[in-house]
Amino acid sequence: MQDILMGLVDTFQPMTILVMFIGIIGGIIIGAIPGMSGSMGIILLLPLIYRLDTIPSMVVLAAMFCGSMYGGSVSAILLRTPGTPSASATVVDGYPMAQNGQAGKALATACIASAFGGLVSGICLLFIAPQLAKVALSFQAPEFFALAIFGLTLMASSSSASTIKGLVSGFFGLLLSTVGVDLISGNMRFTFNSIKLMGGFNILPVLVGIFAFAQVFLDLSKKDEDTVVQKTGSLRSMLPNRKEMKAILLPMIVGSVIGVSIGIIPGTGGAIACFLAYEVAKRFSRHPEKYGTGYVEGIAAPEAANNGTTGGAFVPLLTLGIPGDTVTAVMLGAFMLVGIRPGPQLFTEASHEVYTFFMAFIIMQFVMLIFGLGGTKLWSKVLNAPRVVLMPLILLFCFLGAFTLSNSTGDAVIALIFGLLGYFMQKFGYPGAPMILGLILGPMAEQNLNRALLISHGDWSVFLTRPISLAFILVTIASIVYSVVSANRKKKHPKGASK
Amino acid sequence: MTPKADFYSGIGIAVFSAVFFILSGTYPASEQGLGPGGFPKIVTGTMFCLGVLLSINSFINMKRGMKDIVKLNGKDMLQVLILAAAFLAYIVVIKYLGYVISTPLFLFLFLYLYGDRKWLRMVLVSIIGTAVTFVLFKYLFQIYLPEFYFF
Repeated sequence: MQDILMGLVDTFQPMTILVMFIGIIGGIIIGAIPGMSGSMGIILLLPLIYRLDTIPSMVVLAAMFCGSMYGGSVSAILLRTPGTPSASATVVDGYPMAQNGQAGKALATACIASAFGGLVSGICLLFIAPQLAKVALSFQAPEFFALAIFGLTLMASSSSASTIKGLVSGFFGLLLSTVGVDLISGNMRFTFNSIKLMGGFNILPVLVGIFAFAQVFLDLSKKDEDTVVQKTGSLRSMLPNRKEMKAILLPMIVGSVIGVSIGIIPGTGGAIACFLAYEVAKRFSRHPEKYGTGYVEGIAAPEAANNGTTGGAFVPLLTLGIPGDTVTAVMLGAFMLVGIRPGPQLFTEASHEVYTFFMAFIIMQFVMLIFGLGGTKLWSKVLNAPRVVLMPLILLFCFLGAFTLSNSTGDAVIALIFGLLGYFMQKFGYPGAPMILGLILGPMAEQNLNRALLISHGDWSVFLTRPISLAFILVTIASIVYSVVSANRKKKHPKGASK
Repeated sequence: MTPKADFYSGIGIAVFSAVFFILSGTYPASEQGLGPGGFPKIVTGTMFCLGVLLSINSFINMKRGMKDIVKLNGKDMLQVLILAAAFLAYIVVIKYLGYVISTPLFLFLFLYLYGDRKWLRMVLVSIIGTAVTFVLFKYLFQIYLPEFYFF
């Protein structure tokens, strides 16, 4: 309790509040632009977080994540194009509402539901994460190795239509993590006599390349399309009335619970949660026939769900060091850059920082509500910004982010190489997130595999005789089998898959 | 679905993994644990199997008459390669011309490659973009940015 109170007090430090504002506003803008996601926003923040202390840097990253989740609904409602995959279900009722002249109300409902979902997930994060961390403290080398493989395969099997491609990407990341000096034997691996490769691949240039440069390259072939942005109306006319507030309460609760639950499962994310919440809320609704026609409930459920995943995704990220989705995979890399090592030890070594972060996470939902509602007209203007102006500036920020790392252009060259790799990977359906995760989890997997084999004198059955390790391995196998079976089912029944 | 591209990329992955598997075998063996080559061998061995599996899977799909939906457009690829080359040139030039001179030139070129032909906007974005980032990074974040260094 003392940690929570101290965390609350520290949340109101001017710098923490300032970066929270920056993160939320930046997140809404980034999320609102179709094709941009929270991952890109986090990468753009990297030059900033170098200059910040631990708590503000964690807060600005989380604020960017939460803001981008709501931001995705802006273009979903006004353009019929979800800004992020997590806002896909919001289109179904959001755009018809906008066409009916209720764009402002749709945006306000999305904002209220997003803040509600985020708040519920923040409270869950506050109470679930420390308990899970306590359990994780009992993990030893076999469990950590099994956990790393579990996280990697879950991400690999869920982030692409092809499980094989996801796994190839993840294992390529693991291979990249072995480049440089082997920490156990001191041998050089895959350096090809290059001094620059001796230190291995730094996560930042790889992140910048795979997620930001590749996006800029992909965007080259797109032209600015003539967009018809629906009008939002005045703030007073936007806010849902008492009857509407009552109607959206249950969908918001349903969405939040689903969002948190889905978010906690590594390798999932807002895109799955929003559709599931939409379907479940429709079943619970008194007026299921109104869903899809421009109904506030149809916005409230998915928006509460996608923001519900944010706090949920932080549970495995902070307690086990396993990200819940692509954005948290990028965030894990960013955390490590500023010296934060997520995992069970974080709760004992940096409990003050962790609890301040939890409290800030809760407070930022209110900040998002204020900025989200207050700036509705401004966010709709963002959609009119020409991409031709945005893209070079994004590329410039990416260069500066990579340059900042070591004040040398060498990392910018690595970012460029990975940008080209990311471009071709995306073109051919190889997801980038498992590769990043493989690069991050590689050292953890290798060191713990070595340790486990040393303890067991080379007996590989050590992974099967320990219950937690065995459970992770079984779930890993089950997730691969499930994704292969469901992919085959989608091939046979493409109509069902499109839902 | 991209069965043809997947077929060839699967073969590429298998060859790439095989090369790195062989390289992993050149590292000294260890009496305890896996040794420096052990983990890379497991990783590349798995990647090899995945590459072969991907090729077989896509070969079956090709036989079923499935065709590539996504194709690499030559014009798009050329644009990407030109932009990458321009960026590489920028990285080289910035060491000598400095941030303030080379950045607006690069931004202008980028806008041109992106298809923008509104000259005033191109000039303004190039100059204002450089000025804002220079002030932000040099004075607010206090990050060293390359300066003019020709002589």
